[in-house]
Amino acid sequence: MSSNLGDIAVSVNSLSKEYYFFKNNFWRLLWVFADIARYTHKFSALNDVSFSIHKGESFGIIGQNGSGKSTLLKIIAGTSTPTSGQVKTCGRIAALLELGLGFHQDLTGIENIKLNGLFSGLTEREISEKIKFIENFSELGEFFYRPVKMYSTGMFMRLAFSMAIAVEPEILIVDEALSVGDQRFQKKCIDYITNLLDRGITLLFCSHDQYTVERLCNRVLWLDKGNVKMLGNSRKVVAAYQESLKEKAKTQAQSFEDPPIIIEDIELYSNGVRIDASKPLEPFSQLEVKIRYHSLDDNELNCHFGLGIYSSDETEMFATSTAIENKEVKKIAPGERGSIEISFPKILLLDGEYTVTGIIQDDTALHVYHRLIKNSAFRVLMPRFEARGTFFMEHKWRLN
Amino acid sequence: MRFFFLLLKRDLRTRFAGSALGSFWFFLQPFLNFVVYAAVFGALFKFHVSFKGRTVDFLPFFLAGFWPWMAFQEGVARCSTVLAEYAHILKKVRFRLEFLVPVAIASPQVYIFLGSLGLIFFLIFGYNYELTNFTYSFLFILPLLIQLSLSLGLGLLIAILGAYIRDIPNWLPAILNLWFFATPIFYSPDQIPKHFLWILKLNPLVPILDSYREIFFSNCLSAGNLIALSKVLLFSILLIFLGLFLFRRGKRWLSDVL
Repeated sequence: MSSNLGDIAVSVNSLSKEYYFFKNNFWRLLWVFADIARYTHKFSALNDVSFSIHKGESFGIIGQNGSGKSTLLKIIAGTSTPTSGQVKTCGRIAALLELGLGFHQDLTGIENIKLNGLFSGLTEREISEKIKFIENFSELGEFFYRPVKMYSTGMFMRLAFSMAIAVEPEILIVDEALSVGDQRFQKKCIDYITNLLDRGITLLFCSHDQYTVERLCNRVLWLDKGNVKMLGNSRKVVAAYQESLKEKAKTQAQSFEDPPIIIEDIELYSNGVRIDASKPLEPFSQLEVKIRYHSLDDNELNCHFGLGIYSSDETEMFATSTAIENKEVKKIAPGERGSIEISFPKILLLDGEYTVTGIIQDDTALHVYHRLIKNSAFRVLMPRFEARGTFFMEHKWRLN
Repeated sequence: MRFFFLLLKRDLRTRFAGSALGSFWFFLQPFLNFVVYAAVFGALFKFHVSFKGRTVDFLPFFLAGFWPWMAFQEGVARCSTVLAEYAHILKKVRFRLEFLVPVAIASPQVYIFLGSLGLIFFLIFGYNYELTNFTYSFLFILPLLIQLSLSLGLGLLIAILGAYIRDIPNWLPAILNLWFFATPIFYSPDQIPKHFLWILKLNPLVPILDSYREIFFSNCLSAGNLIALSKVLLFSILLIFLGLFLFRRGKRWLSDVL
């Protein structure tokens, strides 16, 4: 499977994976050992998927549950066999597939690392050289020397991730794994991946967190029921995917585990007067949004702030952030309580009730520390002006 | 090959992971076994059996057949579950799955080794057998190699079929139990009525066990046994090829069924 492909790291050629269901075991065995497929029905997990990934590229895969993301990653990692089509890869692969797999419950963390290293093709010497790194990176402390059956899912993930990066892969496959564990460690992982990308490794990343996919990946593949729905620039694909999700169901609010900094409140002012939905604004009023934060961390944090304004049907009316506008990060001292302001000289929104969302991100803007949603934060009401729509457009009539 | 030995080492450690005595069990288990049998057949019931015309004490006769059988049985039985045991890794890392079968077979061979070496000393010091040529006893390596190839062929078949037919691991102990009593382990082939001898001819383990006993008790390998051994070897090689063929086909969909 490993071969020289020039500057291509992974090449996937009309890949299909079908699961067959048989009347009884006899027909299944006939299929397994004699390739005679007499099935009663089949399920197509992947259907004629083709793409190639260049070396050094970071490639994202999105899609709903059951869309074939994990199957595809498993086939690329070589632990699952496709029904038809080929995968060619170039370079050492480390795969962080479904969590909890890959560890023997009765063995300690360090013993599992040795066992896994052995199967990954490392010599005992290479393994022992990496043990120290894994122990440090995983931050498991004395749990590193305890059976993994005592681990929490977060600890599993820490061990698995540390192991995956320790083999110094040329191709790193990450499937969902980063979505568990504590926030700080997730950030550490993402930072490390960013660092690896700078060093030229190829990343295959699959996550439910579209925001991370969009920021981390150059190109994104959108899988829908095993078919390629869209492939291209990450922003475009993620936007299209989100659009389709909105049609299906309202997106759920994200929850965060022990964030290092929180947004305590979002306050709105117009010409110095505190407002809320009960005091409607007129179009073109001045608006000032104050985001009150409270740092819970023992270290100084470098933060970016973001703001989003949504209509009552959850359409994004306007969103921006200090990261998008290339502003400097804000240094926040340990335990500091404070606020930042963003002011709009004139709001161009027309009639409606609006929701304001504030976010605090880390310095890479890859990771959201905290998000606060203030439903019905303000209302716009036109007393005399009768234009329709969602926002005001500058215009000029020419009647002659 | 290096991978095989590293894997074997890991496997031996993993099997007793979590127990207080750890890998020491590998020496303790055959030893405890030995103590029990020595107490029962060496002290309580002092039978003698006739083996190929020679009168032999029951205890060494029994052990010379029983230890190899245990190693064979444990190896084959383990093969039926070894793929499921390593499912957590084979679903995550890509490697040559075939290696798991010889590892499963090799790890219980510690029995046979410790047992055979023990038997040799036991024969010399405990029973004062006249071993005309002490080094000659080490010929047991020959039937051991043939036993290993038989286990390997059978193991490959059972491992891959056992992964797809989940009844195999359940049936196997009963089948092995039957096989155990159909093989002259507790009794001598001399005791078998003539019209049942054809069953022994079909049992590939019989020439192997006969060879161990001939080596230990007569210090020779009869020509008849050598011919029978070579037939078993041929059969084993055929089994290995068949096993490898089916294993290669079956391993493609393993991660989907385990």
